[in-house]
Amino acid sequence: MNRSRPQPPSSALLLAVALCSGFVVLAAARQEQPDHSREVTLSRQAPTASFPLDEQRMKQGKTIVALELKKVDNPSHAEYSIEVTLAGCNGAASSRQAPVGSLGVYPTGQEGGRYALDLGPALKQLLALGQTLRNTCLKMQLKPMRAATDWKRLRVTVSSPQWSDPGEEAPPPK
Amino acid sequence: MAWIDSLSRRDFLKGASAFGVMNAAMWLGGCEGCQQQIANRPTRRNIANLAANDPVIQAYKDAVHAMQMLPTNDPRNWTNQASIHQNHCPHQNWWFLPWHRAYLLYFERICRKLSGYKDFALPYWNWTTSPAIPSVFWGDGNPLFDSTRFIGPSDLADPSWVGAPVIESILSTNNFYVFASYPATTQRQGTTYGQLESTPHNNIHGWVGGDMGAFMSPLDPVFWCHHNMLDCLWVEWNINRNNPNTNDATWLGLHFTEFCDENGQPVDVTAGITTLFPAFNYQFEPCGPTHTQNLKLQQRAALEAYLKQGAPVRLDFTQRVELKRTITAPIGRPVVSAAKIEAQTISSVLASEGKTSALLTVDGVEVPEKTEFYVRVFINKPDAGPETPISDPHYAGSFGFFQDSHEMAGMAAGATHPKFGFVVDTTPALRRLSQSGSLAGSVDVTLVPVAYEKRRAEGQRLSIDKLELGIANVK
Repeated sequence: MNRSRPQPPSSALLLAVALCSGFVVLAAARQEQPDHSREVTLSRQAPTASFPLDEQRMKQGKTIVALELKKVDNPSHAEYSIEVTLAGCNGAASSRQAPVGSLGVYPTGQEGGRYALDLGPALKQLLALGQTLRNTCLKMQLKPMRAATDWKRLRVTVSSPQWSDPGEEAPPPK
Repeated sequence: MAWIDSLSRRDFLKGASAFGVMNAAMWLGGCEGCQQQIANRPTRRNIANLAANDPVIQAYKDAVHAMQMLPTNDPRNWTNQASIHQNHCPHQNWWFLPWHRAYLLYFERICRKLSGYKDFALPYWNWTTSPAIPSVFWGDGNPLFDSTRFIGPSDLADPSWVGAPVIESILSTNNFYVFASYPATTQRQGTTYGQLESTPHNNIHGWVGGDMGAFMSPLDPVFWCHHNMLDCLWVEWNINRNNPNTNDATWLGLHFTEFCDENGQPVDVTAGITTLFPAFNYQFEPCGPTHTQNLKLQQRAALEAYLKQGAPVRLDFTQRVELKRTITAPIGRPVVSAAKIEAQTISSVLASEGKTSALLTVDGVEVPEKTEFYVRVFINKPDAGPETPISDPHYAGSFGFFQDSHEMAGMAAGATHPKFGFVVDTTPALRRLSQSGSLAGSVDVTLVPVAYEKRRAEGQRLSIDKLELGIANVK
């Protein structure tokens, strides 16, 4: 263990830290807003993304959504998962959330995959607690598998939610 | 023939070997007292409930060690078993669950044989209640230890993969695809992960790491207990919570031919047949987060939900001869019915080398209030009675009832009783009679209701809607 006396930080370093902190805060705040874009890239710097629900479909009980890992940039071979929850769209720490599932990767190193999730049980739970449908978002959070995982250079691009029940989809390709 | 048509496909008879002789025999005729044996089928237990010196743990260690020591030309060899997964495992599609169920069943049988512990049932690792790899899987020199793991004994799986709220959410969907992964047309075609595969399955593999992170993951003995938990959750979703599996013929009909049995012999099992395993081959200690142990439901659902609502593909009957309609008979009085079947038809069945069978279908059998009796079937023996031994060459098989007695007792007077259907393969009896020269142009079928030993069945009656003999392609 390095036990040398800590040096006082230089003003340049303090400025850099302040700028970086501000950037991280801004980036995090941006990610908490509902995202209507086609794809979102999750990383250590911006680990979360939030999507509004398709209210019309939800009201009809069509609660199944598909998410696709479109691109994975993972030079350090970091093991990761993407936690999926339903939560308040405003990103407030106090907002309620309910677990939906997780986009896991097996075998490790696989660079893609399509995932189906039923939001119904989680939505039912939140609505019962008084949350409104309009203020409920689908939230994704990139997480390293283990505390020691080096995920600094990990970037995972995920499709926007594809609102589609299995019965509405075309049969699988031959 | 509602449920038997839905259950029985041409692969059924072949695939039924997966049940073991006694279980298949119950449905195909030839077994008596099977209810008790099925009720006593081995219980796969939560490994957290087993002491380190429990015979199940010791047997698992012995079996793994024995498999590791087998020569490489033995298909039961440890690495060879893992290679089956490497080369054939379906992932990201709807055969994920049935394939791994069959894989585990034959592995369990190999363990039973090689450990010499006849009561062995593979334990499961309930990561929801015990999120660390159980202690029995650690320690140098322990056959259950795998040194390639990325984690240690005190590391805990993340609640977002295996916690009770997320598992409960996964179990709450009623959509088979979303639960069990999406349709595909070939065994290894990746389409879309269902939630059980994507969440606890994938993440536990990746988190444990090492061998577990790759397709040779069965090299780590914890693999088998991990997948056993997934199988238990499938049972919880499908049987205990009454969510039907798909009845798509493509799903049901896929043959898995890469497994071997306890003797190293190749086996052939369909995805559809695996849906019956929990009803016949094993049962689980409860594993779902909010499961309430309900024996009534387990018994009823296993046989009603699976057997009545099973595969939609029918046996390919080429000929059906109705023997009798609307039969009601008191216990102790045999029911005789006859049909003319051309001798040439019977000869062609016997010469078909198992490609066709002569099946007796018994439709609309009313479940009696007290199931104190079963029914024996004899061919060309109109004088058969309860005293006629089953060693008689005319004996074709039997069928019995498996219904929760409390539920039946709770039915209102005059309420309609449930009805079952049964099939008895009469081909072996016909072959015996043909070989002894006692088979003429007509075939008589005699049904003999017989009281179980030490049971009183007086006053009960056998009620059947329809009796048919059919010639069916079964291969």
